[in-house]
Amino acid sequence: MKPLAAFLVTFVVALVLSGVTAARTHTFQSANCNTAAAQPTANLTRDWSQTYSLAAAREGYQWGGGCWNNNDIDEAPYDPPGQYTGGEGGDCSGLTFKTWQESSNTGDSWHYYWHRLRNVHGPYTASAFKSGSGAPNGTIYKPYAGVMDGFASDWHVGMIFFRGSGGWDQVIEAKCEACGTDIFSESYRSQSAYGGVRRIGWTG
Amino acid sequence: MVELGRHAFGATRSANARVVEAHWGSGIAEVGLSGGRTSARMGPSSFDVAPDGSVTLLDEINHRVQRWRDGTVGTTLSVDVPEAADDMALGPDRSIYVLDGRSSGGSTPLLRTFAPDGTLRDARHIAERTWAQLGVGPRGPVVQQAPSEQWMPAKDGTAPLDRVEQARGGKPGRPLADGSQLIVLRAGIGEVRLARVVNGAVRQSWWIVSATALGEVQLAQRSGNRIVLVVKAYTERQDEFQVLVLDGRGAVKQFSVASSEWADAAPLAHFRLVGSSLYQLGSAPEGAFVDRYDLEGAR
Repeated sequence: MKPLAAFLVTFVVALVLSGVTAARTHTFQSANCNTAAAQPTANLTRDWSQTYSLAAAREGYQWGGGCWNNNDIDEAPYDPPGQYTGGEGGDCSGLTFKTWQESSNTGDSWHYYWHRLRNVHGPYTASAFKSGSGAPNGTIYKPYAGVMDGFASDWHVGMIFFRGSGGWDQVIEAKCEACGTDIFSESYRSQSAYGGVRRIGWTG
Repeated sequence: MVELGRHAFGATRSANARVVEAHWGSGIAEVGLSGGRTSARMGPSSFDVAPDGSVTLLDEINHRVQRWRDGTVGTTLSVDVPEAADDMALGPDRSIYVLDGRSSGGSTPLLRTFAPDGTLRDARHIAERTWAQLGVGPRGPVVQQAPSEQWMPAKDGTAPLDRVEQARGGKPGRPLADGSQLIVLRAGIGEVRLARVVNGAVRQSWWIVSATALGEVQLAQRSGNRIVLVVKAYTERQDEFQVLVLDGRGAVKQFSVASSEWADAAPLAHFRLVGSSLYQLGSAPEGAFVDRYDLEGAR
C-alpha cells in the first residue's frame, strides 16, 4: 500500500502543479494574439487613427503590451503594475505606436497597419515620444496640437481625441492598470511635464 | 474685456494657510501614490471643503476618504472606489459623491453616493461615455459629461436620475443657485469667454484675453455678485494658475499660484471655492497638500 499511496500523492501533486503552470502560461496574449507582419499602407489619416484607437478603448492596460480585441471587456484585469504578464491591452506608448501606424525600424517613417490582435509594442517609450525620437515622430507647439497629435511626459503619452470647450482635452490613452484604456478628460496640454508630440506624414 | 497681457511666471502668491499636508504612504495622515515609472502617476484625485473649513480628501489609492481639520486627520472612512482619477464632491448634507475615473467596459462611468459615515447609498451610471467635472448644483450633483460637454443633473434631490433623465436635463452651463447658468468657453490660444445666462438671455459676460497661452479653466464659480475664475497659463516649459475675481467692471483681483501638479488628480479637481476662500489641491515629490487662499484683501 505504501508505494501506491506515495504514487497517488505524487500524481495528485503533479496534476495540481501542471494545472497551475497551464493557467499561468495560458494568457490573453498566448490565446489570442499573433505575430503577423505589418502591412504597408499608402494612407495615414487622423480620422482613421481615431477609429483604430477607439477599438482599444475599454480593453484594459498591459505594461509592455500591444494586443487587444474589441469587445469592451478587459480579459486580464488587475495585472501587477509595471510587469508584462501577457494580459490584454497596450501600454501608453504601445497604443500610440500602433495608432500612428509606425515601423519597428526607427529609421523608417512609412505607415504600417498593425492588426489590433498583432502583439507588438514598438521601439518607443513615452520619453522617446516626448523627445520626438525616430523618423516618424516629431514635436509640436502645444497650443497648436490637434486631433491625433499627442502629449508625452517621461512616463506617459496619450493622443488627443478632441479638444474640450473648457481648455481641457479628451485624450485616448492606455493610462494605468487600474484605469484601463479609454478616452479621458485631461489637462496634459498645460502641464509643463508634458510636451506636444506628433506623427509626421499625415495624409489627411 | 479683460486684457491679461503676457503672464509673468515666478510671481506667485503665498497661501494663507496649508490646511492639509500628507506624505505619500498608507498610514494615518498619509495619502496613496501609484504609477509614475511606467504609467500615469496618481495621487489623491479630488477633494472638497465644507462650509466650516474642514477638508475631505479622496485617497482612492488607499480606498478611503480622510476628513482633515486644523491640519490633522479627524476621521477616516473606507470607501470602495477605483484606483483612478475619480472626482469627488460633498453635498450640503455631507453626502460624498464619487465619480468613477476608470475605463468603464460595456457601460458608462458610475457615480457613487456615500452617506457621511461612508456607507454606500447608491451607484448609478452617468448618461454619457465620459466626463470632465463633478459639481453640486441646487438640486444635487451635476456632471459635465462628454462628448456633449453639457452639465447634467445626476440626482433630483436625493432621487437618482437614470441616463435618459440626466440627458433630458442637460444644459450648456453649470447651474447656479439662483437658477442661472455659467457658460465657459476657452477659445483660441489665449481667450476665455464667460457668460451668466438667465432665462435664455446673457445677463453678464466677460472676454478675457491673454498674450500667454491659456489651458484649462479649473474653476468658474459665483461668489456673491462676483465670479471667481481659475485658468492655467502655460508655455512649453512653465505653467501656473491665474486667479481672477471678476465683477461688472472687469477683474477686481488677480494673482497667480504655483501649479504643483507633480502627481495627477482628476483633471478639473484642483480648486474649490468656499465662501471667500479658494482651496488648492497640489502635490510634490514629498506628498500632497491643500492650501487656502483668502480672496478678501488679495491684490
